[in-house]
Amino acid sequence: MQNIKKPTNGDEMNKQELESHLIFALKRLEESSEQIIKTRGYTNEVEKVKVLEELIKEQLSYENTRNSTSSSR
Amino acid sequence: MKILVTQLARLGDIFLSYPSINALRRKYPDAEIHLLVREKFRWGLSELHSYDRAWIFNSKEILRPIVAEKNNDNSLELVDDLLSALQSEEYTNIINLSYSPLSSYLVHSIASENTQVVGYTRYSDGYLSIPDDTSAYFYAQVGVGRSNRVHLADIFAATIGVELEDQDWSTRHEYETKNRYNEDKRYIVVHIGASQTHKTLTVFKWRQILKNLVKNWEGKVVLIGAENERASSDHMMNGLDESVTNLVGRTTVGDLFPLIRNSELLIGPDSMALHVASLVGVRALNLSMATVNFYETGPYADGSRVIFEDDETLIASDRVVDEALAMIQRNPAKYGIYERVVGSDVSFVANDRVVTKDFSWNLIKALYMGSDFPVIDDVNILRAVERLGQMTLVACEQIELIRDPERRQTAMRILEQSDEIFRKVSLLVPEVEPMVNWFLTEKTRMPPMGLEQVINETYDLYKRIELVLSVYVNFEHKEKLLGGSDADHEMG
Repeated sequence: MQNIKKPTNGDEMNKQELESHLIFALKRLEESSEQIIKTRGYTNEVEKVKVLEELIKEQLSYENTRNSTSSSR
Repeated sequence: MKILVTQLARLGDIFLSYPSINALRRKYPDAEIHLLVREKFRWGLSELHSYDRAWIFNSKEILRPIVAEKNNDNSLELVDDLLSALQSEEYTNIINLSYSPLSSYLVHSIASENTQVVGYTRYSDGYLSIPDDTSAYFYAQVGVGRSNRVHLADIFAATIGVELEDQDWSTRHEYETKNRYNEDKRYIVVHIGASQTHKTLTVFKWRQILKNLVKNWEGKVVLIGAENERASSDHMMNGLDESVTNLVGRTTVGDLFPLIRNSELLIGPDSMALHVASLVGVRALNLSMATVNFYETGPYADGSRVIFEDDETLIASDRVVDEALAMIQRNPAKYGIYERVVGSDVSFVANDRVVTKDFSWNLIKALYMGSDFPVIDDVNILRAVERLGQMTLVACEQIELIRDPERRQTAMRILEQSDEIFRKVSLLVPEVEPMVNWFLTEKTRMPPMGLEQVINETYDLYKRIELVLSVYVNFEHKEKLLGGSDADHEMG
């Protein structure tokens, strides 16, 4: 987990707080990318969201970052 | 030619990428070579001399708006800024050495229609794309607990498409002169840390090793490690004499290269210091446990050795010291070890005191390198390949039924289940995992296409695994195969 600090007061967020922030953000991003894919297909915009989703997943370490990639057709 | 190499893994992987990037420069001397690395590990590039520009992926900065302001849009803007800047470079080639989902999306975003990509990327519909066979090998066979025995440095080189030469294991500086730590006395460097605590030994174990080393080694010992390992190193030092110099938390990356370069030997766990040793041509004694695959990330320098045990209780301090001294005196190993032998078909060769199980590795060699398929001498493995054979026959029948709209849905459900059964068989009998992973990876690699083409390609793929399985399974007697396995009957 990267050590990310609040710029407002300089206090370090505790791990649990940080994790819940990230999980909430990830959920919103996943909803957003699913919505775009449904309406407009896989666009550049979705890909940008996917980059951020994967970056958050890496911080949460709840996926194997090497092989959690795809299902087959 | 303008090439982007993405290396978003940790320091160890960055150091292991040096030779391949040096070889890339050797192969294309006029190319403009850019690198993309993480902010946290950018200092890992300090000794690399064969690139023109480093781009930084700053995770902390990108995530700050999400964390501090609960604002996803500002984070997305930062992602967009980086991607736009990289897109405007119009790379002719992108080489992705990161093998991660994040990197696959990044690479696909940065690449234009004319960019040649190797390594993970994405298809136009967002599915994972693995365009080259080496990256497919990585996806299927590389990782902790798997049977790969090819070193990661060689996998990087194969992904890039270069042959490594001795000269590629080089750094910005040559470090020919003695450094300030030498004090005209021979020394061994001991690296006590690792990026993750489970990769290294406990303070107690290190202390035992150090005490034993001081007792038996006439030269000096220099401890290295990170700032956050200082307290541990102070505990280790307690009671040790002045022949041990504690530099834990007191060295920069710039110090490590000359320090290791002038040492007799490096002793360390699975960590980046092993790769520094390889880059400066110093042999290392790697103390490795089951938390990594040392075949992939062990010390690359010829003659390096690995003591491997499932956990540290089995790594006796006198064994470590005996082995270290044997290496310095160029004597053969006294105990069961793995030795780096350049030119061998595996990255480390087990000496005759080690019993190895080779079926899975031999299966990998047969699948990817054209070797003969290994003989099955275990009834469970035989039963497993027969199960895979049965599922292959069932799947081939169902693929035909997909063409019938009324039966399509059921057939597709059965096919999905077939993948699941393949996975379950490999979980129950891990020896066949390489074959299952090879097959499922090839399925993953299929590009977007029309239904008819998907049907044909999937059928062809099942026929390929049938061909592989036919080494062990008799497909000419389908009824018998579907009715029950020979192994089942043998087992009663």
